[in-house]
Amino acid sequence: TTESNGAAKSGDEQVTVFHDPENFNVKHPLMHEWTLWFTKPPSGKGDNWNDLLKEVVTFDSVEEFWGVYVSLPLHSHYHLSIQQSLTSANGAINLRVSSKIPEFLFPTDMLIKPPPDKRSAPIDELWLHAMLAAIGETLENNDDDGEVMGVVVNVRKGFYRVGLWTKTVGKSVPGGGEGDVAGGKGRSPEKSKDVLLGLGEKFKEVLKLKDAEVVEFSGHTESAHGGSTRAKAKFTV
Amino acid sequence: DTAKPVEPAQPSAQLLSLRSARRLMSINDVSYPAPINSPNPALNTGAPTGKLRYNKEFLLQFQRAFVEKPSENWTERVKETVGDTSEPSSAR
Repeated sequence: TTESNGAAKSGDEQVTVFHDPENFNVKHPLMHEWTLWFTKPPSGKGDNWNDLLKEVVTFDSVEEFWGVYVSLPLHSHYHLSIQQSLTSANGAINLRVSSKIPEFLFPTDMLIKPPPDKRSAPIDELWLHAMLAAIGETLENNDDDGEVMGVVVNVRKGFYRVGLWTKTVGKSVPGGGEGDVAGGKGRSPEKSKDVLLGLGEKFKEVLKLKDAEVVEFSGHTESAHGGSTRAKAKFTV
Repeated sequence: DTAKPVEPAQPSAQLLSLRSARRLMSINDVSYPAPINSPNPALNTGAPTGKLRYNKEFLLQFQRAFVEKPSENWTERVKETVGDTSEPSSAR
């Protein structure tokens, strides 16, 4: 068979992994490249966040995500971030941002306390659902909202935390440009706030939180230090 | 089906298919074999070519369909990054 320019035309047979798991010819692309990072448990001696962070794998299709997910141990020690990429005439240029990731992300961490009888709570399921919402791009309402940068899970004795990382805390950022984009000067504070609040609502839905359970947005001014310097909440949903 | 497969030295047919597969450009016209449910069409109606969104229910269906480790040296790679975990990895 000949390949016509990859477009979906009738007569151009598209065989997915569901049609034939061993001999498929199309995969389900993700809108962004995502990188899965493993966070080593801290030693308690003032570790630098960067030293605890290990890049596991980068992927850009639904199939690859599941291949990774089903073969990974310790699901509760990861975070998933968008791989920053720039588009050039030759296609995408990937910027490896391993050591910089914590510096430009502002986690909108939430603290969820499981009931005492459910210490092992469905954290694995919540974490999976958070990742699926991120890679499936269903957290943001518009393609150009541009805030979602990653999701993170953190499990400790007696509590767990699932966080959604956004690009901004609702303000323009240095180098963010002039446009109506996340972090750009052209985006009004009102719109920035609306986008973030919408994200918060959606994230609550993903995590099956009740309306009364409050999610706090807080900017990390020094997130390079592993989250110990959480700023006070900017706003809540 | 809980037996752990031995890591293949050669890429499996599934991995080879993944590596040569084209990226789907539009999805609302793909007809999935039963009992697989298509993604919510509203998510991708009028979407730019190749910019696809997927709802959770659609994504969860892949869990049993694509089970291949992402690379031939995956086990070593995980050992390097995650460490030698004594905790059993549970297949979900």
